[in-house]
Amino acid sequence: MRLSEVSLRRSRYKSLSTSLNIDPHQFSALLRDLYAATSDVTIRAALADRLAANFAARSCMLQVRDLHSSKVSAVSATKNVLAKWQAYAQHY
Amino acid sequence: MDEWYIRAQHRVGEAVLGEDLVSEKLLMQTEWYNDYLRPSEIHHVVGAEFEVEPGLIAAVAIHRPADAAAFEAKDRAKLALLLPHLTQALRLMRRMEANERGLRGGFHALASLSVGVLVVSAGNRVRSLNEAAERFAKTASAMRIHNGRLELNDPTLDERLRAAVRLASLAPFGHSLSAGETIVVPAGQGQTFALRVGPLPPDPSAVVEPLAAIFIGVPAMAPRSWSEHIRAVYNLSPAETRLLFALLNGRRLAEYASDAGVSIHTAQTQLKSVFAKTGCRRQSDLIRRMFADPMLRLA
Repeated sequence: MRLSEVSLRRSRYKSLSTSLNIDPHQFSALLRDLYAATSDVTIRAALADRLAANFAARSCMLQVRDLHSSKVSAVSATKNVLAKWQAYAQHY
Repeated sequence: MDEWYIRAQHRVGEAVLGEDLVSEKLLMQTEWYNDYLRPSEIHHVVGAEFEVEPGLIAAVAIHRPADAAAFEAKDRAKLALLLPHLTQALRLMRRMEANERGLRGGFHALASLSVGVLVVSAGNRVRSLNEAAERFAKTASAMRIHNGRLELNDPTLDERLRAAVRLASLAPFGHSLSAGETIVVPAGQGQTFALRVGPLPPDPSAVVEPLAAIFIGVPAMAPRSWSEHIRAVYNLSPAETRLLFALLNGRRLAEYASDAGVSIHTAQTQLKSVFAKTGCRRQSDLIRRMFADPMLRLA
């Protein structure tokens, strides 16, 4: 990638994040936690709370579904979701 | 059924608001809303389904309760910004979990060896060890694992071990300069055990700390099930197995006969039977076979 393309992408991102009124420090802290969660199960468990907080919410669920086995697993979820997760996974 | 999930399946890779998928009025009439969402204080949502890898679909949903403000277009746009990072992070998680599973499988296999194996970093910090090494470190008087480090009681030998690990783990040109070193450690009562320090295959990644392997060779470390394993392999009787292990432990035939309370003639007959079953002709062949065959070290 040429330097001009990098600058162009950066300026696009900057203008987009500014127009969305995103706090760049908050957003980069969220990205830091997101990538840290890949190798740290403690951070992974709290990831849903971090995501929710970043959207001024208290509830979040991140799940994956294997299409071959139809198995659904929760990667991270807030307490309210976890409390009903088993019933949800079985029923829905 | 999960109305959001079902309807978002047609919009994979796209951040959406709940209202983009199903109207609030219709949502509130569903069994799913009344049985699951409402008790969980979930009403508004911004979410997305996205492909992590072929055959693996992820879903992220962020919710607010009914009395909170609904998510807006700017929330949807913010989630859209986040999606490539969520995808990449989930891919990394999958890869790391696969590596972890491989590592656990390898150590599960190592656990069945009667040779102790430790993987250490500089300063003799133990990164992983198999069951035989753990068992030996707990019982040996000349060696221990203290605060996560392998230590020898003899300060001179301990320093030699540290130097050997340092050298084995150094890989300035992508491969270790050390061919390895064997340290014989006195274990009291005329006994010794040997530590073989060797390099591990080089890792192309510069961010991974250098590691070395230590193998502990102690004849007495053979697991209890080793005798059962050998007995099963050669179809030995219990008496023949006892005789074989007496010989492996350095006893003479006459000493075994005396210890076992059998005549020397009976012991000789048992030994002939052991020879016939193992295909050996002499005691020296028998002992060499038992210690040399790596499959017999598995239990």
